[in-house]
Amino acid sequence: MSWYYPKGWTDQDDGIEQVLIHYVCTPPNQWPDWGWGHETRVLQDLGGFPRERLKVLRMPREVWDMDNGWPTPEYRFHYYFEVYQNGSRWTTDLFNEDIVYRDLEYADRDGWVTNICIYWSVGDWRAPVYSPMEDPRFPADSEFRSTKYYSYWDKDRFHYEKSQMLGALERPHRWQSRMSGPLGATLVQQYHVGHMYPPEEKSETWLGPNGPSAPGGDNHWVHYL
Amino acid sequence: MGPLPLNAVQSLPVFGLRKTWVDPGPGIAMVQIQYTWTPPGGTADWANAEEMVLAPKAGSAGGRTAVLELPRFVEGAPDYSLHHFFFVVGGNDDAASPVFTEDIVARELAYTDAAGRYTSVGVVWSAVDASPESAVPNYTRTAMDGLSFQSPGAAPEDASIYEFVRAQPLPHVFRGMVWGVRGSEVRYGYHLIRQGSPNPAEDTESWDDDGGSGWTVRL
Repeated sequence: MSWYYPKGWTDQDDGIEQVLIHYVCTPPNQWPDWGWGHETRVLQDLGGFPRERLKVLRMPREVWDMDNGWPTPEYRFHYYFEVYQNGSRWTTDLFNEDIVYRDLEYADRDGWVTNICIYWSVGDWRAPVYSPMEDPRFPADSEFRSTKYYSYWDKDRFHYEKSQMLGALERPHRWQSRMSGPLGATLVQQYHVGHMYPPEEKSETWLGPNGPSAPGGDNHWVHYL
Repeated sequence: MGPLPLNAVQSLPVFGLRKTWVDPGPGIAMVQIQYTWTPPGGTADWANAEEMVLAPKAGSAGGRTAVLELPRFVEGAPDYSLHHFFFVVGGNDDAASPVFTEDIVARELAYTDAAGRYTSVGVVWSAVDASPESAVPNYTRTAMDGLSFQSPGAAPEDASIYEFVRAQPLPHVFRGMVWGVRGSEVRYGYHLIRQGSPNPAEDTESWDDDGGSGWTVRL
């Protein structure tokens, strides 16, 4: 599972042929050895004046902390841009950002919800992310966990079995999941909630602070990381 | 604090491939793509599939798009199978498309530098898209014939290898690969680099895209 982070660049001068972003992630408070290896992407030229460039980076949910022997959801994102201009190249300063997370819980007091995701994005809705939610009491090895929903081909069976298993859990159902982003950034967020069983009651919508709405748009919560 | 290279997150080189979707009618709220890959002819394991929401495409009624990051090699081979399906959320109904399986294949490109002007060559390439502004640029660093220590990569060469290159007989041939869906077209241009010259004023970098149109190759 990944999340997506748009990184943009605005040409401040003429003659720029290409812009690349070099980046790597390390555990918190650690520094990369750029010579050992890192990721590189070419930014897409979006045109305009001044010329805008963009790359949506696929970011990990966690990185492996070898010193401590565990994965960490908080990590450091190091990057710089390499600019090709007028037949030569130059690089920007090295930047780093602390990647942090925000856990959300949706309390469903009457057990109406059978499927729910956090629908969120860093900054604006350019690169939305879906984070399926689960009540922590739901069996970890179940084939009806939220993350398995999309590739479970018999959706009717999934809806039925999930609703039965949820019905056996004491209310409220506390659906939980996680968002990530750079410290200091804002996240926009909605919930996508569904009541998928019984079939005649099937209903789903996106929820913002003003109630049901379409995905994206202005009806969203804002989180400051 | 010194470098801690072993803790850095590493992954195999990838390339970007754009996928698009056009709503077949009104009432579609969201479209998501689930994708994974296997060696050629393999069966998809969806348990660890990647997923991405297709963002509405500006200026396109019902158009949605996402750029998938796909590996350049699967189990060491440049050719493999890409499996994907779309999950479509409507007003009160959801549906999954059939699973599509495509062959991802690589094609080697060679640049011949007859005069020995360059120390390294890169290839900038993207799938030929209906709208040029949707092109997803990728980069391949080529390896020069005869330089056994070189290996292709996804970023420009930054080492000073002038003397090694000069020691090789002419012509110098630089080889690198591009990737895409079998049968599709890839447009490419060259990044021509001369570094480490005795006279630094002779160092140069230029982008040769055949006057803006680039060259194309069918995969």
